[in-house]
Amino acid sequence: MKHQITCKINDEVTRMEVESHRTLLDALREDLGLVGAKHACVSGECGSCNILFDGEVVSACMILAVEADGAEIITVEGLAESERLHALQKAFLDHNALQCGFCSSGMLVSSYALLQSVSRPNEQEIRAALEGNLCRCTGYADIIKAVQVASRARR
Amino acid sequence: MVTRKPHIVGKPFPRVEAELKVSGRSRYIDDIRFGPDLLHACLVPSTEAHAALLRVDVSAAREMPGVVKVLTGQDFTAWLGLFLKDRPLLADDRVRYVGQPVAVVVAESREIAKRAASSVMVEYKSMPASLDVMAGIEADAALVHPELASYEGLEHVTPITGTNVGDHVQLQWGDMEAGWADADVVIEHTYKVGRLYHASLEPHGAVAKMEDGRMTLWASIQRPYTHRTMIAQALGLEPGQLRVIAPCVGGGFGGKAFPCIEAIVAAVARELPGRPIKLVLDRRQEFACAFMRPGLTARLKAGVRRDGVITALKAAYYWNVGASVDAAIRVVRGAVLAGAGPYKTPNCEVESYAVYTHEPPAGPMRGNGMAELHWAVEQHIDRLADAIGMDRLAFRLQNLVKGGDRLYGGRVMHATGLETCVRGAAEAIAWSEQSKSLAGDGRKVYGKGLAAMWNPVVAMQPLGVTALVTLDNERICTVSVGGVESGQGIYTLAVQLVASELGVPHSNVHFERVDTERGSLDWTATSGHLTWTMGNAVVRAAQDVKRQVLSFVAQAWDEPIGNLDIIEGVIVSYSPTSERTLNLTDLLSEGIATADSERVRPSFEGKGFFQATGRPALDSGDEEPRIPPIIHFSTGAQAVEVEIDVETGVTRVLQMAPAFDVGHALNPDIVRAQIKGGSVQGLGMALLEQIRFDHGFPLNRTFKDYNIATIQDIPKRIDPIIVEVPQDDGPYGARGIGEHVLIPTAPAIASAISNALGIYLDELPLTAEKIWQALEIQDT
Amino acid sequence: MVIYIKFGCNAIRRIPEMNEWTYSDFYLERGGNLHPFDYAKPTSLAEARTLLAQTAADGVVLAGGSDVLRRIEEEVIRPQVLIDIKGLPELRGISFSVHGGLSLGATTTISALAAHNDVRRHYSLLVKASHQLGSLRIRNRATVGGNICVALPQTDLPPALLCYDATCHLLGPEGERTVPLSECYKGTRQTALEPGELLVRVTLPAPAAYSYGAYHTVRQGGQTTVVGAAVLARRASGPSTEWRIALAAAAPYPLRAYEAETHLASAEPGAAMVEKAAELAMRAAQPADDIRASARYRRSMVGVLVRRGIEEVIEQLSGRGR
Ligand SMILES: Cc1cc2nc3c(=O)[nH]c(=O)nc-3n(C[C@H](O)[C@H](O)[C@H](O)COP(=O)(O)OP(=O)(O)OC[C@H]3O[C@@H](n4cnc5c(N)ncnc54)[C@H](O)[C@@H]3O)c2cc1C
Ligand SMILES: Cc1cc2nc3c(=O)[nH]c(=O)nc-3n(C[C@H](O)[C@H](O)[C@H](O)COP(=O)(O)OP(=O)(O)OC[C@H]3O[C@@H](n4cnc5c(N)ncnc54)[C@H](O)[C@@H]3O)c2cc1C
Repeated sequence: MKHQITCKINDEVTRMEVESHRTLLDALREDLGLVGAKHACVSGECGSCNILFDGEVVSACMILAVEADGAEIITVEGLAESERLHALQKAFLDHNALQCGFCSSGMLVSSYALLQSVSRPNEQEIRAALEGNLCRCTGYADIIKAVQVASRARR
Repeated sequence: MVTRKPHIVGKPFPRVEAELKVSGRSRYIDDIRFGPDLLHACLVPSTEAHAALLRVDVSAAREMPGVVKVLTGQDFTAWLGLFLKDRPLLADDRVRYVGQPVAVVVAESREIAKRAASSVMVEYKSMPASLDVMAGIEADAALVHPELASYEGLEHVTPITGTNVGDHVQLQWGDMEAGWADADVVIEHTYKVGRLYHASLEPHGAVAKMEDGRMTLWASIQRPYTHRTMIAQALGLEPGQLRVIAPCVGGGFGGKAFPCIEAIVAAVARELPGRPIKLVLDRRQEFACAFMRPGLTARLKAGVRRDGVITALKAAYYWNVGASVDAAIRVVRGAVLAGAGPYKTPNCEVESYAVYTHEPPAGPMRGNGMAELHWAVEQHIDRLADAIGMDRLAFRLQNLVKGGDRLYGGRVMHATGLETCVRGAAEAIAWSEQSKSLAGDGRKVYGKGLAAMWNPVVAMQPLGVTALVTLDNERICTVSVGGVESGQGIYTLAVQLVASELGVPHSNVHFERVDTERGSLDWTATSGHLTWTMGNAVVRAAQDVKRQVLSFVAQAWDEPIGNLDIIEGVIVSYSPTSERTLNLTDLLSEGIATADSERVRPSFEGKGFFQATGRPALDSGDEEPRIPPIIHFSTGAQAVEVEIDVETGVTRVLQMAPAFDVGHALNPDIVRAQIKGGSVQGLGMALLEQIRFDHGFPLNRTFKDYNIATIQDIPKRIDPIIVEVPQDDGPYGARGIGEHVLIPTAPAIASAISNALGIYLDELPLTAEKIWQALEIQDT
Repeated sequence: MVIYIKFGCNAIRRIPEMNEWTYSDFYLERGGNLHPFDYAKPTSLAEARTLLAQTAADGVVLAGGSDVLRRIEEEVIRPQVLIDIKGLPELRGISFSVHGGLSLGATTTISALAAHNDVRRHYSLLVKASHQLGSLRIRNRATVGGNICVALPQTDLPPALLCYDATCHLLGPEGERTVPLSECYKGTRQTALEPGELLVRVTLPAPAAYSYGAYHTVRQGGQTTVVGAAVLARRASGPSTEWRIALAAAAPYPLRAYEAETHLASAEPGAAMVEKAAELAMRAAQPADDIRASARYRRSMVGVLVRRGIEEVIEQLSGRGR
């Protein structure tokens, strides 16, 4: 069954026709070419496909595309303002908060959501916000550092 | 005039590919579009550990609309192997592990392929499986490869025919009898490590397309040249007919060092010329159908004198290599070369056995066996120190191998910062101050632990590496290497080295992803020594291209080449008469008027080649023809403090102080990042990770139950210590780091636990329940 | 060489990193992970009821989807229709009154629950349990109703709800009925819900004048509770204390430890009382061996966690001048 949906993705109103059983992740990646969110576990376990959905972090692999009708979505591609990297992206880059990069989109989106609600998070708050994001490369320490640096840079 | 060379080597320097990654613009295999002709493959994995294939009924699948092809082992008779061909592309007449691909379905969409794959009916006749390493070497064990004696590649390995031993090596030096006689205490113990999963966040994925007799393979892999050789061989193609391209790779850790599904995709593409075929594994398939780290059972026996001298050591390593040893040969061989640990052992006997079992094939993981091996050695060192009542640090310091020490077979150890690492790590956790033994409520205890390590760089294949540096008007400077950027930062190093050698700003230097067509042969590409091999080749290529530029300009300016240099992107002349300068970019865009006043717009291509040779002092000599030469040893140490909840067994690592001798930190930030990441991977390995099998069936095949360390598990402090004792044949004195960082962490954590509780745990992982159980036994 | 990638129908972006091997004609069809099903989003209870009746066994209720979609992906279930209940107003929202207590719409997300001021003030044990449930991105989707209806032993919210004597309000073809949460579970993945019945909301009685709860778990790396114990003490106006103890992952479903509760209410305060209660809770547990832990370990941890919970609660109570 096909459904017409309209949602706002990275500030652009987007209309799509999607099958009932299409996940939001597949729709973003394949229909819109927003491949920043990754297919890494497709069962909600790793956080690599995290996006903002009406302001909240969610895993795009665990949501149907039809459920996004009317929603406001931000993906990693939407973090930068025009060509300028977001403070978080800059901090990730400067502080080695990524290696292979496969988890980075999800990490950035989760961190972005955190900074939306807590402007100067402490280490414990950062850990809590990122506990659902798996990373095999960095050992997380530099990610914590980068989020702290970004939170200071923004003020 | 600037005369100083810009020093960007040894300085922090941002990763060159990071901007693409943080903005979501990097393209991994699953992000690349291949057009409407794309076909999708899906595997049919075996559900039995050991069974004869009575029937593989693909008729229902073949009839499904949208299915293009269904292939089984009957269609491919090729076997894969770099040293020993012991891996069929698809199961032949039997399956040898759960997850082994039995058939592959190709369809117009992924959904159809998936549905068709689940309609394939496989009729098995179960056979007894060999699932235990030690039982597997007995004469009556079920054989994984009964026809081993007829396999191709036997000149590289020494199986024991008629058994499950796929390869074995031995090394002995000194006088064992005298060693045992000299000992005051002899300790014998067995240590175990189960199977582990590489767990790179990006699963395996490949796309292959055959066109006009040539095939292109795009894949998430670590060693494109190894893949090219092995897959071309298996498919009967000339290496030149197979072009391998590695896009952005989302982690590997050894799991993508040898072909698995890539070979199947390529084989399918050959059957369906003209259309690209894609297979990206989902997480459950990834757990089942790719590689796992080998398991290890290590039997160690050592004698020690009361004054702290190790008099004799006998080590036997039994590797559980699953259904294939090929990818783990270096693990098995390396184990004898490093098998005594980084300690003075005048009398020693080391054996290493690869034992086939009916489990998934072994793929080496970060550390190439050394993490498993040091789990045993370092714990045994603790036991020896404890037995003679000596401080564990003091015992290590007394016995550590130092530069100039004689090793086995007349070899002499090169200069090493091992002792500095051990001391530095110990100091960083305030070793001499005892841990708070008991906290207020008596529910938490604390302990400190330490482990040292060495990792031999072993030359299994000729370590020939080339690099290209090209200068042209379009991209100015491009460096191309054969090693893959899988997160370790290798492209950043390459760019840094070129900028430094050539004398141009780093913003002028671009990297190129690996494409075997563009030729930068690299056999190594993993194993924590890319820095050393690739680095050397890159330096030489940059020097080559610089020579070309200068001689070109020298000719045009009619000056001796010795007068010229490139500084910050400007070609300068030091000639006292002419102080001429020319921007390199201007040279490339506008050219230069030559002596006969014709304007030429040049482009240059510099080549660098590095071939590692076994250095005489460490060469194995003729008497041990099957033992590959060691090039050098990388060394380091890890020190940790832990907190254990004695009622639940839950252990937290409070602090880690990893220290490694990297020769020269070409980019200290990247080195520290590697050290931190490896330490945390080691933490997961120590406390959490293990594939659990039930009759050969892997039970935990998702991240829900195969737990890797999360951000909540990491210690508050990880303080990497960089030690720099230069490697005389390294680029700027550098050695690698990537692999070594994982090695000493698990034994250091075990050491801290035994320090806290007085309990030795000999099998990984050290789960809460295991610690709780040990405490319960201690209580009764 | 510059490559342009067409995204969707109109947007074109330049990908500087691409080498020449990228095809320039773009169409990326990976195909989904889920087998095909239909999707319906009723907007009224009547419509929902009709849909549920029509689809019968082929229809599955979709709330947050964190369990359903996973099971479809794993091909454990193959529904024909997913009935999204998030459009039903009756299943939404949190309401509270000092005398009437708390009412949680079934589709309340765990995050919304944990952020609600009245919940934080009067039912803080729910907040503690919520913080243990998965990670933020799961809590932002997973619902209170879903966490109950999955009927899994390791769910984190039900032990706290059991401590507050929660009641489930069910709506089915036969009309509405209420069932105490403690009677809602029939086994792992089995509830008292009849086919076609919906959990509409969960109500909790009015808060006690004073109450304090503790939720202790063993969790290590990863996101699943290996064992959990919720302990709650309530006081009306007098000095007598009412106790509740409920366990996670210690039986085929979330379970109350009644004997332990009764013992605490009647025994002489002191260390012996705590030990005995912990022991009774251990006895009440019917743990299983699984990949995460053995039954023996689980049972033993029930003792440890219940004891710690009681101790924490007592310390808090005595802090208020016992
Ligand atoms: C990565 C991950 C981590 C998790 N960690 C935890 C954790 O730590 N602790 C924990 O407790 N849980 C955890 N969960 C489990 C999961 O989030 C919960 O079980 C969740 O509460 C289910 O709620 P839902 O709204 O997503 O339910 P859904 O998936 O939408 O539905 C679950 C089931 O309940 C039925 N159902 C839902 N609502 C109703 C209703 N109102 N009436 C009738 N039937 C209904 C559905 O038909 C379905 O069978 C985790 C899940 C994931 C994916
Ligand atoms: C990363 C991740 C974490 C999750 N964490 C949670 C979580 O913390 N809580 C949650 O509710 N859901 C969680 N979920 C979601 C939920 O676990 C899955 O939907 C559920 O695990 C599916 O269970 P199953 O199919 O493995 O086992 P099922 O067969 O559905 O359930 C059996 C489970 O119950 C347990 N069990 C059965 N009998 C007993 C007994 N007598 N005593 C003790 N245990 C028993 C077993 O351990 C087994 O895991 C998580 C999912 C993910 C992806």
